Amino acid sequence: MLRLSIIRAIKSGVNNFFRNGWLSITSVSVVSLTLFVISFLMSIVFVSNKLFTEIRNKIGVNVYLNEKADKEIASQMMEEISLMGGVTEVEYTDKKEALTSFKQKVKENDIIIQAIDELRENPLEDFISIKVKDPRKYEIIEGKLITGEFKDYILKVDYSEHKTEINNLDKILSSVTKAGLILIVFLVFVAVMVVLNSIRLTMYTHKIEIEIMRLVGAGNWFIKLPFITEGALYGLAASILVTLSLYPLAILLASALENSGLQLNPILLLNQTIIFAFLIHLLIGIALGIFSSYVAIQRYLRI
Amino acid sequence: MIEYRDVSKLYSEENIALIEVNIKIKSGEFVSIVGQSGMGKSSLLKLLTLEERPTEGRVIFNGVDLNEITKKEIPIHRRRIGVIFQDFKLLPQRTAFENVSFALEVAGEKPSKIKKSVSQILDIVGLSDKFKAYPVQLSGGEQQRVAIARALVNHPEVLIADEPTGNLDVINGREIIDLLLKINELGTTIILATHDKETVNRINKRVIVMDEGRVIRDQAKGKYMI
Repeated sequence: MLRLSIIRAIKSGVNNFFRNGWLSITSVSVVSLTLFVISFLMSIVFVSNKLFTEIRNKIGVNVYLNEKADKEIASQMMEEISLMGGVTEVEYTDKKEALTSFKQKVKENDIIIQAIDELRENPLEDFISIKVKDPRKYEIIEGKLITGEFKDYILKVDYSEHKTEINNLDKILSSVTKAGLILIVFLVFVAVMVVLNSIRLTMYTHKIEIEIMRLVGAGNWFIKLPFITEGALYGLAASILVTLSLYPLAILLASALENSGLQLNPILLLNQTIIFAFLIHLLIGIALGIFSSYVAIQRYLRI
Repeated sequence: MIEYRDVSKLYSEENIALIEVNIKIKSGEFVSIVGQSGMGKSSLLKLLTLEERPTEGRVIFNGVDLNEITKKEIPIHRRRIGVIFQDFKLLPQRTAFENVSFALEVAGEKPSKIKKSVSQILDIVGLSDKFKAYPVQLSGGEQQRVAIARALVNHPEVLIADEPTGNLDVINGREIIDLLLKINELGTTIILATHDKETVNRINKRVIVMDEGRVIRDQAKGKYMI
């Protein structure tokens, strides 16, 4: 009997969803909008994190060596550096290579090429470039190097030149993440209120139906279940809609990023995360629909 | 079967609906409760369906004190009582058949039994050819018949009719009253609340007159007089 009642209640919820076409469209739109806003903000936080990581990876610190340092010394230094915590990359470039690559970089600019050629000597130095996972490590590494056993071979470490940039980047990243999260929480709160009220209005049109259900002796759960089912269907429909709408958004973003030189392909990224995104939308959407319906129906169940 | 013992109902200090009402209704009776609007008729009925609880006193239904019935037990209690209203209260998006079967679905009956019972009861109220009609396609009298069928399909011991002819023309009104009399003859207790003098006089059965929340007259074969 219980199973029969549950099946009936769910069936009636599904029927209501299709019978009340306009009300369903309104509710699905509101839930969709909410999901879209959440999804959009989450994407911004995600993409900006990715972008910053990429930019950060491009930043390195170079240790310039003086005349006294030969290749032997350089490789000893590299060994020591790579043993320091958090170092991901250590690379030695001698001044010949440095000059070749510099010339390659500025080959379009005749004046610079000419100026270099006029200098009889190579104006560059040998250097070791270092990359670390966490930019805060640079300061420690710099400290260790200029006070350690190789201090006499070091001409300069260019960390100080990058110091502000690195720190700024870090600050921006953490502010974007923080602001994004605060905005998400705030918007979710606003969205829940909107969804709640819109579903409450929907429920108002069911007031008589609920009254009749009570009159013929329907138990509270028998009354609630169709509406909860309807709420869950709002969430389901909205999550499908929003997940699909991410594609046009990714295409737009892709064309915006095309010439930025960043290794980020939003379409590929979306393809990789689409199932995860759908599940998240489904979870939030259904939870939102059920919660709102449940709260909205509660006020008609007194007595 | 039904007994109101010293029942008073106060909504607020100024708004007093019932004052020390004492009524006994036997099984199989047809009782008309008459009085002007706002004199306590509906409150009296709502105490029976547990839409309201008495401020003082007790309502006994089949030996059970309704004050003892918990919130959870209310739906079960309501299935023992059929109710019809002036505005029919039908679900507009369901057919006549579905409106009636709904009352059985709520009680968890099997589909085969629902089909049989609903067909039978719609036959009894004279709507065997209107199974698939929606309320909007039915006349007022027919809609009230659907409501009566819905109220009866659970085989209630008592049928409460709250101004059932209020929205109907004279002929349809009479037909509904005749149907109620027929149902009463088959053994169902009927409590009819109305302020329609002609209806009451035609029934010629027990009449309880209410005024300002009190029972002012209770006659076995009464006429509508105030």
